[in-house]
Amino acid sequence: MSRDLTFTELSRVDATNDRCTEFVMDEETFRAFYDRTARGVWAYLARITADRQLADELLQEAFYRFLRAAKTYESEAHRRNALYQIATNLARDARRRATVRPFADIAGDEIEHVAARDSAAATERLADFTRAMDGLNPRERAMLWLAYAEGASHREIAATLGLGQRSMKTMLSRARRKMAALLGHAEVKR
Amino acid sequence: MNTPIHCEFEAQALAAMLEYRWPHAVEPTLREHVAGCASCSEVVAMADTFAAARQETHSIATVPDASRVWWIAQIRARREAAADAARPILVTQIAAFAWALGILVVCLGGVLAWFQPARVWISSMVVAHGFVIAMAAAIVLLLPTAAYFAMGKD
Repeated sequence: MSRDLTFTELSRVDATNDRCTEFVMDEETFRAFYDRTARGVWAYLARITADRQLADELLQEAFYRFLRAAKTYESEAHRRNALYQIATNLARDARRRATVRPFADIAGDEIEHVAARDSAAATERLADFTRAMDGLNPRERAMLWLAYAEGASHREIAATLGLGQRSMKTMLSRARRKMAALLGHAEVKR
Repeated sequence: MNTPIHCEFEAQALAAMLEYRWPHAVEPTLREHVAGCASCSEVVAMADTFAAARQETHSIATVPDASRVWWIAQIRARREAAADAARPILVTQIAAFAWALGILVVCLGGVLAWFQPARVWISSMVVAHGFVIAMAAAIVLLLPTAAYFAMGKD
């Protein structure tokens, strides 16, 4: 139900505004934190959802929920982990609802087209990577991205994905082997 | 290739990759180990692939400006605060309307002749089952109130 507020309601809103809209972070701190993390979170969302448009939407939502969470964090790492956790949950919810677009159908091409301006070799490599990622389930994608692209520890990955820390090593190894098989590589940069 | 599930040097190899120390700024022993260890080789190759993909993906990321995100968040928070503030008022208005309707029915019941048998029946029911009716009324009133407060919490 949507209607205009009465003066009584408005006065009440004004009284609660300061309390309700007060984020734990001030604008300057937020801007600095956003500039440090936004691209990384977008890349994470784009990779685990395989949908660039969805990543755009979820990025803003993730930062909003992060601000509204009204939590204080011990360190930058904790703050960052909390943000990735929110992003993961949002991606999971979006997948459950599947309201935006089916994931599998648009999976590979979406990101590749944008990268087409780069060299052919880089584009081909990225296309191979995207196709291999499509062969994984969303949890495996998230695990591998956090571990190998973001450098997250097993504990951080477990916390972000809501999984048990003990089984993380084995799960990560399995996902890595699956990804390696999909990529069809075993060469080492020496 | 029969890759073992884990190797104790995997973490070192991965750290070297993530910190851009691989391959030149690591101990030669680690380099030699990775060359002969299928599991560590896989870790290094995987980290290399993901680092390239990360770089590419970051380069195509189109994130909105921080100020814009902050501004939208402020507006949205205010809107939600307004909606929260308006909710109890709406509930009160509905309750007041229900009370007014009830009083109107009672008043009309006292005046209209055709309502008299029903009034007698209601009176007898209240006398006979007053406690049960009071409990039912309390539940009917309390359940929505409880649901409101439960759902009102963020």
